[in-house]
Amino acid sequence: MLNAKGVSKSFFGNKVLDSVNFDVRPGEVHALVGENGAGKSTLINIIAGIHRRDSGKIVFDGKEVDFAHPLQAMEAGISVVHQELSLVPSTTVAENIFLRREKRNGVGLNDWRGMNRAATDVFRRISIDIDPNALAGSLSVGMQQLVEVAKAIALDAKLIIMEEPTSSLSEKDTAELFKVIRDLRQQGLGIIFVSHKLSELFTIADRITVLRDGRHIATEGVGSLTRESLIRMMVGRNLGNLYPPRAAAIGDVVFKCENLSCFGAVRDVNFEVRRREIVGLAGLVGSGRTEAMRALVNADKRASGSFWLDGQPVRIEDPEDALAYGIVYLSEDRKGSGLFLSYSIAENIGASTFDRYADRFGFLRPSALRTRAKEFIKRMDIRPPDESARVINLSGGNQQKVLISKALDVNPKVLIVDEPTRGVDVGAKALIHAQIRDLAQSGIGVIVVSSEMPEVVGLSDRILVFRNGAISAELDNQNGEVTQETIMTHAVYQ
Amino acid sequence: MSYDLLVAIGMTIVLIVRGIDLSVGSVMALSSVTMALLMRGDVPVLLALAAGLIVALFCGLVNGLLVVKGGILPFLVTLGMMSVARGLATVVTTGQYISFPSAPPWFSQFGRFEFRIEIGGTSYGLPLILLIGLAFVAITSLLLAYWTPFRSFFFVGESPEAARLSGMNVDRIMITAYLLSALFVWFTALLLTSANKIGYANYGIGAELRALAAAVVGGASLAGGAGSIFGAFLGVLMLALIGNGFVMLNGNPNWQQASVGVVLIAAVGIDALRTYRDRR
Repeated sequence: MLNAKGVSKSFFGNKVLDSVNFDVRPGEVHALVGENGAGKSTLINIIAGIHRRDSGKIVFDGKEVDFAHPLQAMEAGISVVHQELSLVPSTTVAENIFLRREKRNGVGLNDWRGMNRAATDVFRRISIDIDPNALAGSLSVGMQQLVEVAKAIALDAKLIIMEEPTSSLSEKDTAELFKVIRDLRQQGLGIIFVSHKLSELFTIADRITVLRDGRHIATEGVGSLTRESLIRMMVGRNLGNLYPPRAAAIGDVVFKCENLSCFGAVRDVNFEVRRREIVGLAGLVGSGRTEAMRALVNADKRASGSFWLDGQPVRIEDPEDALAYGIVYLSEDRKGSGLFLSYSIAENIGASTFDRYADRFGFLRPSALRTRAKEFIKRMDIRPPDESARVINLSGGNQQKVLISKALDVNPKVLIVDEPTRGVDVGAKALIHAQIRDLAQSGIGVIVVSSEMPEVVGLSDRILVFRNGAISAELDNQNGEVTQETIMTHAVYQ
Repeated sequence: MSYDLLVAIGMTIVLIVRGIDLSVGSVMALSSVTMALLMRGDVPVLLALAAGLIVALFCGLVNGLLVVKGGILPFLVTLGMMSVARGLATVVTTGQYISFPSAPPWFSQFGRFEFRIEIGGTSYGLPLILLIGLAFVAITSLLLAYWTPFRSFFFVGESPEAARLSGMNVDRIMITAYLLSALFVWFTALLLTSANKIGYANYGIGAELRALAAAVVGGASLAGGAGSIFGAFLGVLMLALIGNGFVMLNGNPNWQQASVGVVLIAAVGIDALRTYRDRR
């Protein structure tokens, strides 16, 4: 139904797509993978009419097309479900589905009943159960994702493009989404599925296309691929073991947390972190992992909690206090509350440690900051290797590396990283994991919050499973033998 | 123009931290009449000036606290303060000019002081207050670029949440910005009162719009995180030139006010486009 041949595109003289071939058949889920910067987004943006191609040919539904605007693509039957959800939170589900195409009654007012009925029809078609009258903002992220899909279907889309649809979904919501995707496939729709989570691809995709450095590497049926061969094609080399080796000797307790509670989200959480140890916090989205860590540094007001650092009680009234003790929390939302997007790599790295690059009167010594930034750029392999580059222009993986550099510059005693590799490509992922392990080895305690179970299992020495705002299990993972199933049993309601 | 320049410096700093200060003109009037009334009552000059400073800083503090701790939109808070301060100034003076004949002559001289410079037989006056304004442009530019407490304004404005998690005291930094704005307002009131030899409740009408226009023309973004004092200086210069143009071309000088509005809307429009392109 979609056939793209020899599609090329350059931005400012940089060739980001180099005569790529890509096709989608009706009733097929075609996964598109590649490291960040491989050209996936550009290809998708061209198909969806957001960018225009420089050369090549795209045939959709038997006609050659060259969309100048996303609306044209939409009318032709191509819908995109973006990674960042675009629902209007304060309006109802039905309104969102018919946004800008509201049904009107005789006097020109919104025909609520008609819209609700039509919305219900769409939901029935993909057999999900959502109240069309509910406010979009009141739905979970997973449900919102499904509403986005419903919106595409209401538009009579023949081809639906999903960008990282599961990046913020819990396992349960992911399963629900996959059920819907299978339904749509059954009904003969074509689906382009972009994801970094390789395990998902093997569950849902029929064929996989690999892009690397803007070039088409391979298109093969899932059956003839393995995880290893896929990774090899994506990075162009063998990554070896995906996760760094575990700690040799775990030390004594560096940080202790007792009775941490936060209204409505976290109930009586107690845990310890030891030197050279990585503690993984697992659990479903909304189980209180992130909330507990934010309450720990009092980024969100907590109800109770006492903390000990190196055996001494400490008072943490705000993130500033936490930082002064060497307790650093890195947000899961790196764009919104992690980085200063318009500023340079150097300024971001020094944001928590300004004073170290200033003389005793508080005047910055820019050269000192630049030198330090250069060290991190080398150590973390940040690209481009230019400390004055603006962070907004970096890829997700490189942004995450800058964020971690910023934390490292504090010389933390306890580092809390929330979703360290969300939306990050395989190569950068391995590097970030290795850095986190190195950091633990240097004698600090590390807490990793992650929705990706393979990451929790692969990286942590001990795993705390959260359920409904409390810790439901503590699993020793020093030999790496905890299975995802074990975690799952403790994460879901019995 | 020098007055506008000083106010625009403060405005730029407030804009950098994602705020806006619409109360500058009114607080200027309130501070001016406070100083004038006290000097008229034979209070020592320095004490009177200090009282004017305290009044201005108090207004700035209330602005900052309501914005930061109260979580009210800066636009609304300072719009309210704009009305309150002007109202108070009018009440305490009953709208009259307040002269202070018994104040020492040096006070009413320095606001008008000019250095005489001879160039080719003609004598040009270089006003002291212009030099003061330029000095402040240079100093605040330097501080914003290199001094860590001032640098943090940018970080707080760019992303308050990230700044907080980076260990910055966002509340205190934002309040400081409003206090700095008040400080520049007080200094402007001081110069105005000295130069005109009177305190007056209608000083600084429209000052907030001129300062805002100048700051935004100079590169400050209403979305925070960006702004340049030197840019604001160029903005003030541009507004002054436009105003002067109407006079030179024998136009109606009353067009000047309209022109400020046009410049402001155009500058904000360009800023919106820039922000949109950046966040795309």
